[in-house]
Amino acid sequence: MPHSRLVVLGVLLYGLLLAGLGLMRAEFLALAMPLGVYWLVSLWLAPEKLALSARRTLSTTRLTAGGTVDVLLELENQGDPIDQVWLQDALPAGMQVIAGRPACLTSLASGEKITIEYSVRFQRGSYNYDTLNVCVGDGFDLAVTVLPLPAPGSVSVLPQAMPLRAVPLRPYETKGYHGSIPARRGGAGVSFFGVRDYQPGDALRQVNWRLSARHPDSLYSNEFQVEAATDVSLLLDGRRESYLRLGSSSLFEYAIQATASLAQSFLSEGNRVGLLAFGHMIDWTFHGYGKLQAERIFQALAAIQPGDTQNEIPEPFLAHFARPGSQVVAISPLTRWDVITLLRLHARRYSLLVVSPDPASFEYQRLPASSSREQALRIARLERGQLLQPLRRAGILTLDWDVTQPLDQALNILQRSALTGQPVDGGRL
Amino acid sequence: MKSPYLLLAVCLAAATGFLIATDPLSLALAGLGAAVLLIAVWQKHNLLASLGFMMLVFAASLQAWEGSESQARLALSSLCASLAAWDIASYAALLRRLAVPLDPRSLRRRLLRLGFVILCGWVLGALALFFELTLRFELLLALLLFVVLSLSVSMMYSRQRDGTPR
Repeated sequence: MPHSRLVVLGVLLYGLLLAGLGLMRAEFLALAMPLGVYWLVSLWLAPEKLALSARRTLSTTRLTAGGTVDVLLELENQGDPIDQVWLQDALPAGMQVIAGRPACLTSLASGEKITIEYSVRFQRGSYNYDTLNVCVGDGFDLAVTVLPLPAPGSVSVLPQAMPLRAVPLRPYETKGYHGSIPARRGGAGVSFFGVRDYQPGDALRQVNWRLSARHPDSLYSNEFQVEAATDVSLLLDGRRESYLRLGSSSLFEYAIQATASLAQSFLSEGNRVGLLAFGHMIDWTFHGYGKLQAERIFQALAAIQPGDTQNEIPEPFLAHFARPGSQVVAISPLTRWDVITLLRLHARRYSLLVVSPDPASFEYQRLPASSSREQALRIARLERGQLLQPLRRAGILTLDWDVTQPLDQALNILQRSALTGQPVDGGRL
Repeated sequence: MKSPYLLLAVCLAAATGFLIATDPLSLALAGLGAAVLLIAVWQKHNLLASLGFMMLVFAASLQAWEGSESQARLALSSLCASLAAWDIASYAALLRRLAVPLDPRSLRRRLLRLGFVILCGWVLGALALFFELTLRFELLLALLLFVVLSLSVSMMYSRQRDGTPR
């Protein structure tokens, strides 16, 4: 606990002096002498004019989670010589010093400059450095002057996106632009869609000769399934109550990583992607294309922290954010009330894909091995199955993501099951 | 890095040792004060260090109050050693709190200054005891005026300069 040594010394010195005068005992005055000399020398050595400046240089301001940043702090004294100066750079939660020291205790001559270097490993988040508190002591650090020197700096630690091969999207509506999602209409494409009457302008290789041969009076052309882009709305659950946290790791980080990976995948396929996160507050990034949009979404994901303000999916807000018929991808461990909301959204013609990080698998891998752990996992999976069953029955693609598996692998299994129509079993198939 | 701790131990031993001839209460108080100072360094706790120092000063004052002139001189020596211990303990606690390596140049300078202060303080105190300073009424008034004035000046200084968060 910080406190002033000057006050302690003052109390003792004046206590002894007053005791000596009050009791008319010179011994107390004699005892006060060393304390008085100590104070006077400390005062005498205190710097008169303090003129310090600080500068912070960061090796990078944008990196992915788990990356390191080299921080260089420069402190320059433009005033009187300082006998003792110390500083400790404030490290927000989520930073870990891996090399060097973010502190220093030294003396500074007039015009002298010192540098402090250290490396920090960051977790996902947005970090802002504001001021650097430099403490200047007098001769014996009795009176300490704290100088808050401006030394700004900011670091955005973006979530790490994993490459995804296939995400099963089947929106009711697609955009007119070329993309990779099979649209529910015929045109130019690769996969066979249907047959229609020949229309002038159709290429000869489009003509279905076999069918035309059976009808000598008319010609028929093959139609192919158009692959188009669509609007994808990512709905990220940021409610603290939804996520397990064990020690320093949280299930929320898996949800963030899944959202980042999905956003990256959808954008790279030419879709228009938007992000709606709810938890602490409703946070949105309107739909957009391309790398700039990816950067916007990643920056938003970097800043999101779980919160308690929202307690349910903001259905009215979502209705304004995403048009009915478009694709919504919900990323949430889900509660019973969320399932009801998702069923309502499905009924309102939203095409839904639910990616639900499984809390049981997250907890399982962090518990010591025992027979009760296996039993608990079985019970938890039965409960999850019960929770997700209404969604699957309604035809909503639901991935109960076992977080010990890579998301890409889990989505592949879901893709296969969507193609073959085989039911998905619990997170796992 | 060990030298400040060694010095601290020597100072505390001296501060307690000078009070060995006094009554058990003062000695116990001094021992407790020394222990508290050591714990303060271990726990990087400046407030505890000050508490330990106050106990040591109080023990020395008790000896000076009750004892003869020679005992008062020993009490003065004990107080000087306590002051040195308090200073070193604060410096060591700061080093431990910041987790920075010891700068030998800075420590040497500080110790030299501290040595000078302790010597001057002891000499002045010893002179006051040697000349058997008698507190006549005029001197008492003058000292009282000095105390009141310096107290107000020091309070003003403390408000202006000392930014230690409390």
